[in-house]
Amino acid sequence: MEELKQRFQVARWIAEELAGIIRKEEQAELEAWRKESQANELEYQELQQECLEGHYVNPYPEGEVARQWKRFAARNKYPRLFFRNWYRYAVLVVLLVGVAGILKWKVGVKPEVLRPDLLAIPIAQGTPLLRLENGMTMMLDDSSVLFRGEALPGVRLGEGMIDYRQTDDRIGEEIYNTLIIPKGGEFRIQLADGSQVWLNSETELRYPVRFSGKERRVFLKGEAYFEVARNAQKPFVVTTSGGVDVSVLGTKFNVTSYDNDEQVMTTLAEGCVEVGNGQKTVRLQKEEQALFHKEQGSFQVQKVDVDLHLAWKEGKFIFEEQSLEQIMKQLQRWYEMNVFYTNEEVKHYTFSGNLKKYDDFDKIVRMLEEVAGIQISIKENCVIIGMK
Amino acid sequence: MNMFKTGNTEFKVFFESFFIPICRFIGKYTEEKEVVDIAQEVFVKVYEKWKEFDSSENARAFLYTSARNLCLDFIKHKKAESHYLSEFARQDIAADPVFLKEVTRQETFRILHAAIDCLPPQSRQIIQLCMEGLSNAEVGEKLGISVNTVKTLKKNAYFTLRRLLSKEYLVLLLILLGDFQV
Repeated sequence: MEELKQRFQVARWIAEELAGIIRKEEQAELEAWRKESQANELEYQELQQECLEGHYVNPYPEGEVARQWKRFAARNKYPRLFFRNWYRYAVLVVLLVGVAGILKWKVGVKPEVLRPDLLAIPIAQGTPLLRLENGMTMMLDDSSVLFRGEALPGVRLGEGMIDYRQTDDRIGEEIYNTLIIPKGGEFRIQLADGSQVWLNSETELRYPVRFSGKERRVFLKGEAYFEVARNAQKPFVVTTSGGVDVSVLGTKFNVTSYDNDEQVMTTLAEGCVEVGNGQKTVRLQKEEQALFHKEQGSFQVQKVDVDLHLAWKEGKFIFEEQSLEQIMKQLQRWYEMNVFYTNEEVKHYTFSGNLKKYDDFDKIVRMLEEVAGIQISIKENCVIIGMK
Repeated sequence: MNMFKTGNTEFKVFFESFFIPICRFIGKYTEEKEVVDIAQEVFVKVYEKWKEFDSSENARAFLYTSARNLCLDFIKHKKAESHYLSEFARQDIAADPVFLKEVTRQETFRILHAAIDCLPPQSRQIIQLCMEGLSNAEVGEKLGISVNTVKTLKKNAYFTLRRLLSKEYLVLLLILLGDFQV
C-alpha cells in the first residue's frame, strides 16, 4: 500500500514538472525516485513523452461521465436498502441492466431535446473600463493600443489584468484611477505596492496610482479578493460602499459589498484583519467571516469555508445552503437576465451546488428544475420562476 | 478543513473526477466493450466503503486496487484467454509492476488534465506549447501575439496552476468540476 501511495506522489510531481511549476525540493525528490532504478527512469521518460503527445486528454466524448453518473445514481438510489439486501438485488440488477442494454440497443439512443427558449440568455459580455483622475474613461480591451505602448508611465495592460508599478517613491499628491468591471466581466490588478486584487463582475475599485500617504487606502463597490503586500509602516485599508472599512497590514481576504445586498461580507483567508464602521470594530482570524448588516449596523462573526467564497476567482460558482433568491442574484452578475418569481415561497428554497461560469444557462435551468421541482420559463431576457 | 465528508455530494465529485481515469486503467486489462460496466462496478464498491475513508489518498488506493481486482476476476471468469494475465492475478499488488505503472500514468494524466483544462483557452494553448518545448518567441509567433503578452499570460497561468495544484486533491477537484449537485 505504501508503494501505491508513493506513486500518487510521483504522479503529482511529474504533472507539476510538466506544467512547469514544480518546487525545487520536490524536483529533487522526483530525481531521487528516478535514480532508484532503471525501470523508474524508463517509466518516467515514457510518461513524459505521452503527456507531451497529449495523451492526458480525455478519450471519451463530452457528456459521457454525466451519462455514467446518471446510470450509477439510478442504480444506487437507495443505498442503505440496496446494500442490506445486496445479494438478492445483485441478480436483479444484472438482469435489468442486461435488459436495459438490449432495449437501448434496439431502440437507439434518443437525442436530448433542446429547449430553444433557453438559448436566449447569454453570458454578459462587458469590457472593463478605466477612469482616470481627469475623468477620461477608456475601454480596457485589445483595442486600447494606447495603453500597450505605455502611454501612461508605469502602467501595463495584459490580458485580463493591469499592472501599476511604483515608478518612484517621491511624496506627492495621490492621483486616483478607477477600474469599472461590468456584468460578466472580471479583472485582476496589481497595485503600485505590489498588492494584487481580483475584481468580480459589477465591481468598482478606486485606488491611487501611487501610494504616497501614511496608509494605503482603496475604495470598493462590489466584490474583490485582495492579496496585500506586507508593509507594517503603511496599513492597507479597503473602504467599502456598504459603510465598513477593512484594515490590514498584509494578508489575503475577500470583500463583498454590492449595493443590492443587505450585508457586507469580509472573509479572511490568511493573516489578520480588522473590520469596522467607525463605531464598532471586529478582528478576524483565519477562515472567519464578518457579516455587517447595513440596516442594523451590527456585526456577526462566523467560521466559514474560505474556498467557497473565493471560487468566483477561478470562474466557479459554489454555493452551500443558499436560497434560490440569493443564487439568482449572483447569477445575474454573470448572465444578461431579469428574474421574476410567480410565487414567494420558491425564493426561499435552498440549494447547494457547483457551477462553472461559462456553462450554458440552459444547463443551469435544467438542473434547477430537475432537483427542485420548480418551473422556469424564459421570455427574451426575463426568467420567470414558479412552482411546478 | 476536512473536505472528506460523508455526503453524496463529495462522492459525486469523486465519481466524476475518476471515472475516465478508471476507464482508461481498466482498458489496459480488458477489451473496450466491457470497460464501462466494470468501471460502474468499481464505483459501487467504492460507494459501499465511502464513509470509511478518511483521506482522498485512501479512497484512491481503494479505487485502483478494486479496479484491478475486478478486472482480474472478470478475466478469470472469461476463461482466461491469456495465460499471462491469470498468472499475474496471483501476484500481490506491490510485486505487480504493471499495476503501479498504470496507476502512476492515470494519476499523472488526471492531474495534468484537470489543472490545464481549467485555464482560459489562450493560456492553455500557451502552456501546452511551452510543454512541447517552444520558446516564448516561438509561441508568440505561432499564436500571433507579442512576446510580452506570452510572458504575462504564462505568468498568470503558472500562478493559477500553482494555486490549483497546491491544494489537497479533493478540494482541487471540487473546484474544478463545474457540475451541479444537490
